[in-house]
Amino acid sequence: MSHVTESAEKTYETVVGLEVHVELATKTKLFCRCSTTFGDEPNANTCPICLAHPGTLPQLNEEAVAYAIKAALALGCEISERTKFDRKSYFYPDLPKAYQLSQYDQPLGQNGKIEIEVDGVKKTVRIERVHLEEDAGKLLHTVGGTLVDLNRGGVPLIEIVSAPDLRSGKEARAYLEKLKAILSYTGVSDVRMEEGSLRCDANVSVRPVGETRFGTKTEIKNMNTFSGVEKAIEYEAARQVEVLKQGGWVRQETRRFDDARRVTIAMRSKERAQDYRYFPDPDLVPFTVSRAWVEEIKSSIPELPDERRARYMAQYGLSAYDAGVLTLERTLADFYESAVQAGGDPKAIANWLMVEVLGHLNKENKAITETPMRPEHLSELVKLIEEGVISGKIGKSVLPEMLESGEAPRTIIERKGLIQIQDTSALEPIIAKVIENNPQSVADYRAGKDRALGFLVGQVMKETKGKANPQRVNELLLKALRS
Amino acid sequence: MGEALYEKSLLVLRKLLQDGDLTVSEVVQSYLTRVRTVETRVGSFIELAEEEALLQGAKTLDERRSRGEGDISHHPLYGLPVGMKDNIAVRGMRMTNASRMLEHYRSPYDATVTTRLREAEGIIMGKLNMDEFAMGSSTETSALQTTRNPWHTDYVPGGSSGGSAAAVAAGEVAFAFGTDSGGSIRQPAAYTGVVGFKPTYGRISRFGVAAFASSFDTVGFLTRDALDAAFILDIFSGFDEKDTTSLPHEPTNVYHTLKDRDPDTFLKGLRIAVPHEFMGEVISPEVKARIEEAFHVLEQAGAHIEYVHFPHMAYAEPAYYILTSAEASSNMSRFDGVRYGYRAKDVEDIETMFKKTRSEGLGWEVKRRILLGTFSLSAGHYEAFYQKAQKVRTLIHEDFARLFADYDVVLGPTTPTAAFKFGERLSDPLKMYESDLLTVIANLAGLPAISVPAGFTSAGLPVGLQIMGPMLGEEEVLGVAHAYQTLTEHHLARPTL
Amino acid sequence: MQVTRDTVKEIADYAMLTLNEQELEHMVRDMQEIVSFVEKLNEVPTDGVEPMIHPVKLMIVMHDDTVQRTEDLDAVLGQAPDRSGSYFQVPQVLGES
Ligand SMILES: [Zn+2]
Repeated sequence: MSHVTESAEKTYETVVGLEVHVELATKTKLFCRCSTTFGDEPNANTCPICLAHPGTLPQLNEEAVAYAIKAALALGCEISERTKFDRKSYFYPDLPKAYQLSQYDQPLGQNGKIEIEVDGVKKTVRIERVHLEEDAGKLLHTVGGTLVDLNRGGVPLIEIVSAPDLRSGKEARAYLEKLKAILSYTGVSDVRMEEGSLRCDANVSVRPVGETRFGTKTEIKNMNTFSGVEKAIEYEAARQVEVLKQGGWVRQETRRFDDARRVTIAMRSKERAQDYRYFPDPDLVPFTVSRAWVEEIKSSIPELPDERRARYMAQYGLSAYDAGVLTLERTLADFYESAVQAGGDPKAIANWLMVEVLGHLNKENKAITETPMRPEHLSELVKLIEEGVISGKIGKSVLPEMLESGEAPRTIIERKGLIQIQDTSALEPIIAKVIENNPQSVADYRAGKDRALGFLVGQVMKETKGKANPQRVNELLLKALRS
Repeated sequence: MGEALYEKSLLVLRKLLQDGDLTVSEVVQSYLTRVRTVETRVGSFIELAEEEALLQGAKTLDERRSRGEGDISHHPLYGLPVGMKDNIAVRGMRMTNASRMLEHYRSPYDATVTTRLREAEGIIMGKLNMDEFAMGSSTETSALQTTRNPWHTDYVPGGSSGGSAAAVAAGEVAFAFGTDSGGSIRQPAAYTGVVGFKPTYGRISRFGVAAFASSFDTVGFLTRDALDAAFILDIFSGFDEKDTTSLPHEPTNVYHTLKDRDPDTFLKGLRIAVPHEFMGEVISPEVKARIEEAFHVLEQAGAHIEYVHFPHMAYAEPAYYILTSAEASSNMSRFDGVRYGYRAKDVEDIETMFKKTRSEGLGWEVKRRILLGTFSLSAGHYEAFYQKAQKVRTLIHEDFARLFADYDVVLGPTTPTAAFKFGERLSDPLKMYESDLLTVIANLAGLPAISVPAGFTSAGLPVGLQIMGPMLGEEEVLGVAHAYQTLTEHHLARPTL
Repeated sequence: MQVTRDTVKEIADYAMLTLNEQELEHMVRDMQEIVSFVEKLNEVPTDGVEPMIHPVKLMIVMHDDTVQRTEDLDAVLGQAPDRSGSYFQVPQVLGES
C-alpha cells in the first residue's frame, strides 16, 4: 500500500441505482375490474375484491400482463417463461389485504439495458428486473385522523430496477428521461411524474475513486420531478462525501428530499426491522407466459426513440441534438414526422418546432398534444416563408394564433392582410417616393456610405407597414439608385 | 312410510316436489317446525333466515308453479332447504365466520356457489356455525355459540363444519355446504353420522368463501347419502372465472352414472388399498372394528382389499399445520378494522388500533395459528419450516401417485375415534389436531374424499368410513360410497332428539 | 428448537397481535409444543425435492380490460367502522402528519 499523506484529499465517485414505479395505462385494476380513472370521488372505484372483503379472490388482468411484458421487452429484458405472484406482507391502512401482490423471485422481465448519453458520452445502464405489482391507496393525514382512499389500490404498476450503474445526478436524470421516452413510445403508461404515474426512489452511495466495493447506501424518496431527482442525488452524494471526510460513516437509512430547501432529510426510522415474509400467493397459481404471446407483443412494439433518432439524422439531416430533442417524446416525434410529410424543409420544420412551438408551449406549460394546431399547418407556415409569401418575422407573429385557434396560417395572414408585397409594380412607386424624400441619404449612399442603404430599406418597409419583402426591396432600391 | 319430511334424502324430497306431491310451502314449513323443535338443543344456526321471508319465497314458487310458469326441471334444487356454512357469502346475510371480528358483518355480495344455488332455486335456510375461521376440529372455537352433536348432546359435532354436519344430522336442512381444508367436512360428518364429501381441490369455486388456507380449502357438502352428494356435485362443479384456482373442467356428470348402476358389478374386481398407517394403534378398537366390517361388506361384493404402506403418513400432519398456518396467517391479515368488521374502541394511533382490534377480535386458536404461520414464513425460518413442509407435500403427493397407479381407491377410517366430549381436547392443541390425522393427507394432495356412516360405537356414537380417490376421481369415490350404501343401512339411522 | 418469549413477542408484533403476560406465557408453551411436533419433518430427506406451491397445475385464466361498476357500492363502503364523507377514517398514522 502506498503512503497516503494526511492532507491528501480523496476524490469520490457517486454510485446510483434507481427503482422506478410506473402505473400502467389499463382501464381496470390488476386484480379486479374497478376503473383506474384518476380524480374520482374517494373510494368510488372500489369493490369487495380491492377492499379485501372476506371470500374475495384476485382475478388477473390480461392487459396489465401484456403491458408489463411490452415494457420489459422495450427495455431489452428477457421474459420469464414461468412466473408467479408473491405476497409481500406489512400492515398499513392503504394496503387492504395487509399484503401487496408483487413478484419476488420470478420477475416477469430480467437482464435488460438502455443507452443514455450525457455530455456527448454514451453509456449502457443495465436493468436488473421489471416486475408487475399492485399499487396501494392514498392516505390523507388530517388533524382528526387519517383518511383512506382506495381508488388507486390495486392499480397495476411495473417496478423497474436498474443496476447501480449511474454515476451522477445528471446520469440519473438522463436515464429517467430515456426510460420515460421508451415507455411513452410503447404506450403502456402516460409516464407523468407530476401525476404520480411515474415514481422514483434512488439508492445513493459514494466511494473513493478506484474502490470496487460499494459504500453504504441511503434510499432517497419523495422526488417529484426529474430535476428534483438530479438535485437530490447531487446533494446526497455531496453530503455523504462530507460525512466521510469528517471521519464519520454513512448510516443506511431512508431519506426524504425536500424540494424547497433542496436537501435530503433522514426519515424517522421504524424501530423494528421489516420482515415482508414473501411467499407465493396460493390464490393465483404460478403460470406460463407463452412464447407465442411474447412474440405477438414484441411485434406490436413501435420504433423506439433510439432507432427513430438515428433515422431522423439519416433521413432528414438533423443534428444529433435536434433529433434527440424531437424523439424524446413519441407525440412530438410523430408531430414532426407528419409535418415533414406534408412538405417543407425538414431542418426548417425542426427549427420552428423546437424553438418557436416548444418555446411557446413551455411558457403555457402545455404538451404538443394540447394544441389544436395540426402538423400540416406548421409545414404550410414553413413553406409560406420559403416561398417568400411572408417574412420569418410575420411567421413568428402568427404562430401563437395558430397554436391557440388551430387555424391554418394562410387563413390568418390573409385575414390580417399580412401577405408580403413582392410585386415590382406595387413597390416601384414607393421606392421612387422614398428616394425623392431622402436626398441626403441617397447622396450618402452614392458617396460610398453603405449604411445609408439600410436606412432607405427601412423607410420603404415603414411605408408598406412591414409587408414588403425586404429582399425584393433591397434589389429594387439598388437598381433605382444605380440608374 | 313413517319417515318425516325432514328425514328424507334430498333426492326423495325432490321427487315428491317435482311430481307435485308436495308443495314448497309444505317442505319449508316442515323444516321450520323441525328447526324450532330441535335448535335449542343442537345450536347449528348462527343466523336463521326470516321465517316470513322463507314462507313468502316458498309461496311465490308454489304460485308460479300452479300458474304453470317456469320449468322446474331447469332448477335442480327447486324448493329444497339448504344450509350454508358461515364462511360462505350470501348477500345481505351475516358472514361471521364464527368470529367476534365479523360478528356484525353482512356480506355485500354472493359467493359463486350461492349464485348457482339461487339459480337452482334452492331455499337458503340460514348460516351455520363453525370453528372460528374454520380453524378447529370440534366447533368449540366458535366465538358465537355452541353446537352439539345430535346423537349425544354432551359430545362435540366435530369441526370445522360442525354446524353444517349437525344441521343435516338433526334434519334442519336437506343438505348443507361445508368447507374442508384438512377434514373439516369429513370429520364432523363421521362424528354426526352423515355423508361428508370433499371433491378435488378446485372442482368447486372458492369465490366468496372466506379463505383459511387457500391451497387447501375445498367447498363440499354434508348430505344424507352419497347419491345426494353426486347430484349436488354435478350442479356446483365447473370452472369459475372469478376463481383462478378453479379447475378448467366442465361440470361433472356423476349422478346419472351412479343412479342406475348395479353396485355388485361395480365393486367386482375393484382394487382397494388400505394403508397400514390408517389402521395403526392410534385407531380406537371400536372404530377399527366398524371399518373392518365395512371392508368385509365390500369384499363380499367382490372388491379386492390389500394392505399397503403410505411412507410419509407420519409427516402429513406437521406439514399440514405449517402450510395451512402460513397461508392462514396471511389470509387473516386483512382483518385490520379499517374497512369492515370489528374495531377496538379508544385507540389513538393506527398501530394500536391494528393490534387492539386483532387481539380483541380474534380467538386463541386463530392467534396460535397466525403466530405459527408468521413464524414459519419469517426470515430465518422460511426454509426450515415453510419450504420444508412444501417439499414434504410433494412427497405425499408422490406417495398417492404410486398408490393410484395400482389401486382405484384408498380406504380407512375417517377419524381415529368417535366424537369426544366438550372441553376434552380444547386445551391440548396436539390432541385436538389428532382428530384430523387421517383426513389432512387428501388436502395436501388435493384429492377427492368422502366420509360415509359405517355404524356406531357401543356408546351410540357414529363412526365414519373414508374413501379417497385419485385427482378428478369423484366418480370412483362416490361410486364406492353409493355401492356401500346400497349394501348397508347405516346411513338411514337418525338420531332421536 | 427453543421457542423463547422474545421470538413469540417479535412474531406477534409482525402479526399485529398483543399478548398480555399470562397469554404470552401460555402461547410460548403452546408454540413450543407445536414447533417440536412439526420439527419431526427434519427426519425426512428432501434434497432435490421440488417444493409444492399448489396441489393442481393450472393455466391461469385472465380477465379482459373492461370496467365493471360495483353494484350497491354503499352497502360495501357502509360496512366501515368509521367514515368521513366517502373516505374510510382511521386513527393517526404515527410519523406522518
Ligand atoms: Zn375493485
